[in-house]
Formats: sequence, C-alpha cells, structure tokens
Amino acid sequence: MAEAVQTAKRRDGEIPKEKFRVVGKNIHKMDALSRPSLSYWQDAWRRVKENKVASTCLIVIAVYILLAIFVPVFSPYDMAQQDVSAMNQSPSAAHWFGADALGRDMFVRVWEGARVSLTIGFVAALINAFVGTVIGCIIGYYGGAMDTLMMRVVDVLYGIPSLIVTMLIMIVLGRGVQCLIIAMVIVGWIGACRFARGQMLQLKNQDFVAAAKVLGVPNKTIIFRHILPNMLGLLITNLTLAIPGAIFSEAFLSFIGLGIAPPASSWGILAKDGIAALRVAPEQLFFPAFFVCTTMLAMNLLGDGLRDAFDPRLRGI
Amino acid sequence: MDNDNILEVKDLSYSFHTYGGVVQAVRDVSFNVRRGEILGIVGESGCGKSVTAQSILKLNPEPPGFFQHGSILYNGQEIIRKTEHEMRQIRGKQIGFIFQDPMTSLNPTMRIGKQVEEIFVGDRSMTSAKVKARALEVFQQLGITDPERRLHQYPHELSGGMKQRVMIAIAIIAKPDLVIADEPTTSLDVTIEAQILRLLKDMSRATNTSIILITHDLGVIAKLCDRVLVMYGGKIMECGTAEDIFYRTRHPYTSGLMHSIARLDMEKSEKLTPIEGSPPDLFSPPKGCPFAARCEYAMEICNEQEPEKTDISEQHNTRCWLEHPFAPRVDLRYKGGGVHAAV
Amino acid sequence: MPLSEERTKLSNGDPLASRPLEQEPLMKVEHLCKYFPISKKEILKAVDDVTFTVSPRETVGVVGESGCGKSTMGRCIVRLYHPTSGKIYYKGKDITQIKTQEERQEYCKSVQMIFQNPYSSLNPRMTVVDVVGEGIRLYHKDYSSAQVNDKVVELLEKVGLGPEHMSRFMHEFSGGQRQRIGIARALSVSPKFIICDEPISSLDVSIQAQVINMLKNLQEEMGLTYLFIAHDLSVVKYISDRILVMYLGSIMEQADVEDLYNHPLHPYTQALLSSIPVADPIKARQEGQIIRGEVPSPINPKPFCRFAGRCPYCESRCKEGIPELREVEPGHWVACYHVE
Repeated sequence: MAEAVQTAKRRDGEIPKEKFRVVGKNIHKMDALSRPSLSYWQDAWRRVKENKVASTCLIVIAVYILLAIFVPVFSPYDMAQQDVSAMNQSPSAAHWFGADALGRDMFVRVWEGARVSLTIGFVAALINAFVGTVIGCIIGYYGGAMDTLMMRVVDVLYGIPSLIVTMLIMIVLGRGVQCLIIAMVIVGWIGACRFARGQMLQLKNQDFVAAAKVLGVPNKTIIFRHILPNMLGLLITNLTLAIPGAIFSEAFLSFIGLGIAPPASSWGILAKDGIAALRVAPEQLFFPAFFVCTTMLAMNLLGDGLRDAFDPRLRGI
Repeated sequence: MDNDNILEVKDLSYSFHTYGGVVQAVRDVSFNVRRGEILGIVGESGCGKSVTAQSILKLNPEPPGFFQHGSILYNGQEIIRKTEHEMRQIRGKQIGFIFQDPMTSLNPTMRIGKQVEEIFVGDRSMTSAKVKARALEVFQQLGITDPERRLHQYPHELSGGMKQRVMIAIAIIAKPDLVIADEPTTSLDVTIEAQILRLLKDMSRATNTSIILITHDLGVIAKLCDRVLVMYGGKIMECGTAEDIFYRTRHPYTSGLMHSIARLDMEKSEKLTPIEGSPPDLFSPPKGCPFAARCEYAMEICNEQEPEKTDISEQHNTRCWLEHPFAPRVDLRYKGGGVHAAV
Repeated sequence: MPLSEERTKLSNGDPLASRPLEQEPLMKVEHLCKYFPISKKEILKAVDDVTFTVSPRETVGVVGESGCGKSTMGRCIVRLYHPTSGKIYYKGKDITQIKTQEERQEYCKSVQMIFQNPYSSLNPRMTVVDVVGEGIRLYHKDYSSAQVNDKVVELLEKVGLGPEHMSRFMHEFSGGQRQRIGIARALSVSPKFIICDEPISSLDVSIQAQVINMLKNLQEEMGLTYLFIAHDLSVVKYISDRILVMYLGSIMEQADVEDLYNHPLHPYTQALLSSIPVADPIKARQEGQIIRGEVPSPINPKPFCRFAGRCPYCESRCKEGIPELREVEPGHWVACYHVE
C-alpha cells in the first residue's frame, strides 16, 4: 500500500484527472454488518469446542453414556448371570473387567450400574435445578414478605447436612430408585433456588427489564421470557456442576446400604461388593470407583469450561 | 531526536489478535510532543486514540496486542524495545497516566494514601516521611480539601470530582515530564469538569509538564490544547494548532465533526449536520482513506489509495486527496455560531 | 370543568397558570416528591416538590448534573417508581391512581421511554424482531406473524435500519444502531409522549447528531411530545422549546429556550452555562465563572436553598428557607431570593 502511494507521488501526472471526480458517500458500506450472525448459544458452543479440556470431557461423558446404553444390550452376558467357574476372575478376554464373587461379568455390571448411577445423577440434578430455579426466580422478582420467609426456610435447610437428611428420608421411604430421587430432591433444590434468586436480584434492575415494564409486559412474561434466558447459561453450568454431587450421593448411599437395593446394580453397590473382595480381586473395587471418579471429574471440568464459554466478557475482542 | 520534543512517535502501528482475525487498531501514526505543551488527540470510539496513548506506556495487554512496526522515542529512549522491568521505572515516575473512570481505576480496598504513595515503592531515595510530605503538597496543589484526612479515606468515601483529583495526584506526584490523560473528564459533571480542566492547565503551565489529552469532546480540546491530532479509523486525519483545526479546517472529517455537534452559541436557525454511517470495521479496514465511505467529498481516488500527508503550514498538516492539485477546491471551515471569521 | 375554574385551581404555584390556556396540557406534574429511605434516620430526597406541565407537541428539556433527580423524575412519570407524594396527570387523569390492568396498559400505550444506555437497555438474548415486535404483539394479539413482521419493518425503516437487521442479535450492533432499535421499540406501541432519558450521552459525537435529528423528524412526522432529559446543555438547547434546570431534586429555573440561554437568572444556571467548554478556542479560553465545591449529597438535605453552599451570591437569608419558584418575567420562573 505504501509503495503504491509512493509511486503515485513520484509519477504525479500518472494519476488520471478522472480519479478526482467527486463520488460522495457510499451508502451500502455504511451500517453493514460484516461479521456472521452468532447467537449466544452458537458462540458458547464455539468456545467450548476451542477449549481442549472441556471438549475432551464432553467426549468422555458422551462415551460413558453410549456405553451405558449399548453394552448391556449387546453384551453376551446378562448382569445377573452367574458362572461358578469364573468366580473372582481377573480381567481376561472372556471377561473384560473380570468377574465378581458370584461369577457375574463385571463389564456388563459396571455399565448396567452406570445406567442407574448416571440416570439418578442427571434426573435428580435436573429436578433440583428446575424446582429451585422456578421458586428462586419468583421470590427474587417479587421480593417482599414471601421472599424473606422463603429465604429463612432456605437458610435453615441449607444448614442441615443434606446427606443426613437424605439418609433419614430413605430410612422412612425404603430403598429403590424413585425413593432415592425423591429423597435427594427434597433438600437438593435449595442450592439452585439461592442461585437463581441471586441472579434474579441482579438482573431485575437492568434497563431492559425496566423497558419491558414500561412497554406494559406482564410480570410473568418478564420473568420467564426476558430474565430467565439471561440466566440460562449459568444455570446450565450449575446443573453440570451439580451432577457429580448427585452421582456421589447415590454412590455413597448405596455403598452404606441405604440406596439402591440389589439385585439392581449401581456403581455404589458395585463398590460395596468390591470392598468385600478387596484382598482377592482388587479390580472389583477399582472399576466402579474409577468410573465414579472420572465421571465426576469430567463433569466438573466441563462445568468450568461451560462457565467460561457462557461468560460474555470472555468472548474476545 | 529534537531536544524540544519530549516524545517522538514515528509510523506506529499496533494491532490485536482476536478470534475473528487481526484488528489493526493504530496504523502508521506519527506525531511529536514538545516540552510543556498540551497536545489533544480527538476522535470517536474505535479511532485508536486510547490504544495509541496506552502503547506509549506499553499498557495494552500484550497477547493479544502487539506492535506491528514503528518507534516511540521518549527523551531519546526507544520505548518499544524496553522490558517490563524498565517500563516500571518509567510508568508513574517519568510518564504519568490519568485513567478515564476514577470509579474503577482506584482500588476500592486500599486507602487513598496508600495508592498515592505506591508510585514510590522501590525508590530508596524517598523515605516514608518524604513521600507523605510530597503527597500532601500535591493534594494542596490540586485543591483537595482536608488533605490529611483524605489520605486515610477509601475511594468510595469520595465524590467523583475528588476521585479524579486523586487520580491526577497519582499521575503527577513523582513530577513526571509527560502526563497522558485518557478522557479525564468524560464521567464528570460539567461544573466539576470545568474545575478539573483549569487545574490541568495550571499544573501544566506551572511545572512545564507536557500533557497528552485524549478526548472526544471538541469543547475540551478548544479550551485546553495547544496542538491537536484528529484521529479516525486508526489513522491521523489532521494535525495542527487549535486555531488551525477550528478556524482553518482542512479535513472533511474534522469539518464533519464541527458541523455535527450542538453548540451553545448556535443560532436558532442552524441545523446539525450529522456524519452519516458508522465508524469502519477494524477487522477489514477499507482500502484507501478510512473516511471515504462517509465523506461527501469522496472521490474515486479516495476509495482506492490512501492519501499522503500534505503540509499546509509549518504546524498544520492533513491527509486528504482534496489537497491534490487535481481535486476541486472546497472550503471546510465552520461558519456558524458567530465564530471569529477574522482568523 | 369550566375554563375559569380550572385556571383558579391551577394558580397555586403552577408555572402555566398565568398563561392563557391555549391547549390542555398533555402532562401535568404537581408537587412531585420521591424519597428513598436509606436507614431509620436518612432519607434520600431524589425529587423534592417538582411542578411543571408539558403541552402537546412540545419538547421540554430537563437539565441538571448528577444527583439532581431528573432521571428519577422521568421514571416516576413512566410508573417505574411510585411517587412518595404529589400528582402526575396525563390528559387530565391522575396516573398515580391507576389500579387496573386496562388502565395500566392504556397508559403504557401512550407514554414510553427511551433509555440512556443502549447496551443495558436491550435484552442480549433477543433479536431485533423480538425486541421491536414485542410491543406490537402485546397490544395486537390478533395480528399474524407476517403482520407483526411488516410493522416491525416499517418501524425499522423509520429509524434508518432495514429488514436485513431483523434476525440479528443485539451484540452485533454499534451503540448508535442500538439506540435506534430502542427508539423503534418505544414507537412500536404508537405513543403520544416519550420520555427521552439521556438518549445520546453514551453515543459517539458524530452519531449523536444522527439520533437527535431523527428524534426531531419523528416528532414532526408523528406529532410526538418529548420530555428530554440530558446533562448536555448544548444538545438540550438545540432540541427543546422550554427548559427546566434542576439541582438536588428541585427546579431552580424554568423558561423558554431563548430566554434561558440569553438571560439566565438563577446563579446555578449562570454558572452551568459558563462552565461548558465551547468548541471555539478563542471563546473557550475566556475564563468564565467556575463554581467551587462539590455537589452535595441528596441525603437529608438542609431545609434552605439547595445551592447556598456553592453560590457566589449567597447571603444570610438564603439559609433561612427554601425559595419558592416564582414567575419573575412572563414565562420565566426562578427559585432564588437574590433575583427580584
């Protein structure tokens, strides 16, 4: 560019006079939006993909889910199928993860267990998020006496260790997947509620909410169509980070005998059985423990990645 | 380097790596600052004035920012090649910086006294007593009431105008030769702004300190500055004394700005003539003059080649194809508001 | 109500009382107060006894520095805040007494607001057609999507944008463009009265003129009435017919534009005008009067003239009580003991 200007100067007579004809403003160039349109979600997805750690974790979780769905379907073994000849066998070509004390295939049991653990983890966290968010949004928006009352209730419940409450409820309700989910949800919604209320308090004073009020938009519409979408990114992040806790709660409760009842299998049950065989076949504890840990780790790292992806300030110039 | 100049910037180009590509924020900017003068840099958002100012002190975050080429000579020393350690000796001590928004530039958890005295951290020659004495002296000079008490207060206890005075105190406490003020009065009320502007002028004249004043407000420029640079799209469009710029305008952008601002001294019948369109996208700067798309005098050549610098007088130059002998003669001077047409 | 009765009713400190009632004022604000209790002992008096009227198709400018209450007053008028005391009449009806949803919606359709910050006043998750179409859909539930879209395009063209912008998100637009979207939103319900709350302060200089001219044209075209709140006196002078000068929640001076700028009577107005740097080096460097001191806090203000502490003409009687807003010349009202 600099060169071209130099040349024009040296050979001044070389710029034809016609070039100095006034053409005026170029209307089409103005107000043009040159960059491709990216919605908030498309942009976040792009950023997750760029984040190596987060995308690896996403793939790991996806793989686990696929294995949980398909292994029990395609495996030659049934999870309850006992084979005396294979008792406590180490991992081999026949039994990829080995076999347990009753000769049942560990591989298929781990992935059957994954179905239960992952389902409980996701469903419980989802229900908590849903209930907590709706309540939190409403009390955050309207404030007043209802807000004060609810927050005192929440504060009290928050102070009680949730695992203990869940245990007590399980003792009352009995064992099983549905009972476990109910027990986890009864106290679990509080975290999401506090968070949603905090976000609502911040967002409801924004100018775009004021503008909606001035337009005459009804309150319910403001809460759920204006404000909630602005929280959704963080809500999803929180959800992702709540799942490991739920998975762990289930594992722990089943481990101590209060959660899922055999013959159903979950990672917690498997861990419990694995402890019994620790001297003889340590891999029976190793496999369920490994998958619980890696799932929790992956969800946590994914959650961190999502938090960064949803932060508008980190979009880049 | 000319001894009269405290700062010489030559062909400075600064860019940023972003997810969408490279943004050329500053392109081939050259200017000098003389000792004791107040130089104004005026332009709108995205014109590169803040990036230019911050690159003098290497305050831009280095990834993603980087110097594409050029040189910045401060008192004969080349700034671009200095290390972070060397820059720390310059920042605050030899070149001061006044940030735009005092609400966010002062640390809310630190007492004022501590923040002001921080400039001298690591300087063995300044004892604690000397630092405090100097701080009180500067506070007095800047009209900060109750200076002893202020040293112990936190930023949130001060009003906006007071906070800005504290920012100025931090900038000048080490008696720098050059102070860069980035929109120092934009967030202030107009009556407080008047106080701060007078303060800056008095301070500059009293201590022969040069000031680079960055603003978008032509009124502030008119009031305070000896010389002015007008920037647009990362480049300097016009440069001259304040009288040159306001009374002998030669660039269509400068002229456009003059005609588009509301003025107190406008007649009832005068209209505002806006500059249509928006500032250019710095991802793909247009070929040719950056202002061509919005310029009513744009010629074919303007869209194809960047104009060179033309000297109109010793201090006044502009980059515009209208200066070329083949171009039509256009009078761009602002005529309204009872402006002194005698000049 | 017969005209003579109305006039008597109004003459208690109402700036319009002495003028012949050419038109029924569109908006009447009477002794409006908005206080925010901060603690048991502290009250922030954001707006303190403000009275003024706005006639149809007129632009009333409100100027003042930070803390003067002009934004709070604007928000009281659009019912974002409930006034502590005082009345606001729109077309004769007291809007502080609105109870039903219908009345609320009627008012929202008539009085709208343009916000200062184009970045925070538009929902980042919505597209242009969502934002501008919301008002249309709200009040025309029977419209089909296509009809709503057509109206949106019409509004966008009025503000200088086009149909290609409809499905774009807010972050893709510049400040000036966003402000235009905000204006289109305000117009989407076909209001008669628009409160412009510092609509151009956050915009670039060359863009400000675009938006100001657009607001002026829209006013002509659509017969709008504006309450223009700003701190930039030059801009307010350009667009307004009458001006209110506010300081710490009260009106200090009120007059027609030419009158105020050529013969400012209140010391605060005089100081304000002389503080503004003009874009002309010779004029700007003439040393004007610079008021000393800081703007005091609106919390628990003292019961005498608000400007007393900084006023160059302050006398002992200025500290005895709050001066009334009196009409010292036809149409020119001042609240100052010093002005006779």
